Amino acid sequence: MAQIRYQHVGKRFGAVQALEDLNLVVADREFVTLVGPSGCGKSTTLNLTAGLEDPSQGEIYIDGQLVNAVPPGKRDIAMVFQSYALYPHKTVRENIGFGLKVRKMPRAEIESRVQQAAQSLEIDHLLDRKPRQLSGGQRQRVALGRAITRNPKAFLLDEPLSNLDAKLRIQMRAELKLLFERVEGTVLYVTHDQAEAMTLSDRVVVMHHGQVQQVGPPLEVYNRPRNLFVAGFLGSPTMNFLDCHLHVQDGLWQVQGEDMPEGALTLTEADLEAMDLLSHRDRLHGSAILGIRPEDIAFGPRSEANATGSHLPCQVIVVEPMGSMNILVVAVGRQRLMISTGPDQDIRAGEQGWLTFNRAKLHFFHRDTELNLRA
Amino acid sequence: MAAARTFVSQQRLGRLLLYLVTAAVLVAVAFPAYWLVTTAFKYEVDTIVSPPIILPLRGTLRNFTDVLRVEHIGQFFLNSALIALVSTGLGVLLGSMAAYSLSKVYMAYRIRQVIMIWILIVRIFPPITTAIPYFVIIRGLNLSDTHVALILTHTAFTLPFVIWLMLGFFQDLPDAIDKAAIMDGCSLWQRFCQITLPLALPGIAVTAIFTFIYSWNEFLYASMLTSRTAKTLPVVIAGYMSDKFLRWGEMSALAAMMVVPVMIFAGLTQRYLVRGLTFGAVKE
Repeated sequence: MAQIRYQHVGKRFGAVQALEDLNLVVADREFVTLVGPSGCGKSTTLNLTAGLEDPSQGEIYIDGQLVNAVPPGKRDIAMVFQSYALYPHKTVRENIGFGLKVRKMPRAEIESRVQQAAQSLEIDHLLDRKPRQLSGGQRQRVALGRAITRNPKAFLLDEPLSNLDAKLRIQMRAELKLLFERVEGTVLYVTHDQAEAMTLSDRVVVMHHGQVQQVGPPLEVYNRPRNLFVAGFLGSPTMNFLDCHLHVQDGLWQVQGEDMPEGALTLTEADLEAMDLLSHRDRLHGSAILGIRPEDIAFGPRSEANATGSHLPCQVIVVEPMGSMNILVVAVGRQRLMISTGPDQDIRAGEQGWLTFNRAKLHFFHRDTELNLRA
Repeated sequence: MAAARTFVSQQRLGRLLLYLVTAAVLVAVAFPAYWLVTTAFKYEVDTIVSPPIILPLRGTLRNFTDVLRVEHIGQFFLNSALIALVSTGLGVLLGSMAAYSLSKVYMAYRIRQVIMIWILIVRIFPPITTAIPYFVIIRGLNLSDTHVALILTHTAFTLPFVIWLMLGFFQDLPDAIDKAAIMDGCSLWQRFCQITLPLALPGIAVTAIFTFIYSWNEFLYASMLTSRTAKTLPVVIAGYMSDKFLRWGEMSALAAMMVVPVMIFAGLTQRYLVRGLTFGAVKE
């Protein structure tokens, strides 16, 4: 297993800058997920690492060795494709063992490794079948088997679960986690599914427009997004954003906006402390974008809201019962906010009420740079 | 109810029309073959009477025995087979390699278009326009009346066709499979032989059948570049036509015999003509 290091790596396709100045170290045995919307540069990064594309600038090191000029087959890296890319004319056994055969490994050794991989993936009863005789999930396992049987320095996975149906995807997600813990692999995983990014990774790399937006452990990125894009990308339903204006009045911070009347949200020094904003309070004067996650807003009658000191009148527009929770779409002035509430709270569309914000979980972003004011 | 009946009767009418059209096409396609085979078994007088005998009531094997008694006929048969098989193999191999590189090598769209059109130009001219240059070149190379002469010309003529056809098949193969093979450590040659060619077998079968038929039936260059040693069957057939006589019976008998190897060849390759061989490889 090995470390992968990117130094100022960039890739340009004609006029399009697909990847810009990537600097990242994927540690030995680390599971790193590249996540972002399509066209953000995550697949390009994977292809550059595999050697299927050449970087326009910068250096890529695998296990300390500069690999820019090393052909893909010699990098000792395995890749799992979104489409599985199995060889349709070969049996499962031949598919899994093909990489070893090309490397001229003795036949007995290939057979034992194929058996081992097949057993660990529970496909040892399918070894003599052709890919077309397999279900989607089984094909996915064969593709994984082809990767692990080579015992490579690193694994590259390109949206490996996106072709499976929702139920199977969640099941395979858990199995993937176990599998790569067992083989102790360095894994670079590409997905646009934030649930996969959150659940699988040691660290996530959020990308947008070819640039890395934030790198960190999943919960850290979720709880402390570096900018507006990261805040909006991670989380489902997504974070709510409100334009606001901050000023100090009688020692309290007043958060006001077009749709937030005076007194709707007041913050104490203790609140700033909880948000880790106390040392950056000078940045807070003036206009900003307030971000708050759906689970950090409570909906209730006024009396309940009053007690906490922050309250915002609203009207429920849509109630979406999800079973484990309800998602409310509420109107605050002309703004729409998403709130998640407990499944037992009986709320009807059209109902008037008050919103209470969990003030320790507020985020403020600069209106122009879109950076988190805490950053 | 009335509307339903109208719908059903319309459906019936449609089906009837479909059968009629199918039957007409079938007759148009099958009649020449029928005419060829029946003429091969007719007595000479029956082949020239008017009105023609559509349904012959008597037959003879005379035409066949006459044809088989022609001097060196066995060798001409072998010539045809050898030239057709070798030029098919050569054409398909070289053409596939060219098509593979055109389909996989990164190239600006315009450059590829220019190359593709350039390749096609060879087939745009009627073959007769290049006959004299070919004749002069072959004679200059001292290859007149040799198998090599016809193999070279037939390969040259089928290459553009093979390249265009195979390019379509290669482009249909999912890119990810090629990438997977690259990651598995395959060289370009290994990818071509072990992954791409087996997957393109249906395409190769189709291409090979057409190429074989072209070479097997080719007359113009065969008549021009060969005289005895490398003479092929179409040239022999043409020999039954002269300003003094027209030997319909022998001509038909030999032509009927010529069809047999083509049918065998098509039968052998037919099992590769199954569509959907790549099914299950990738999920689109």
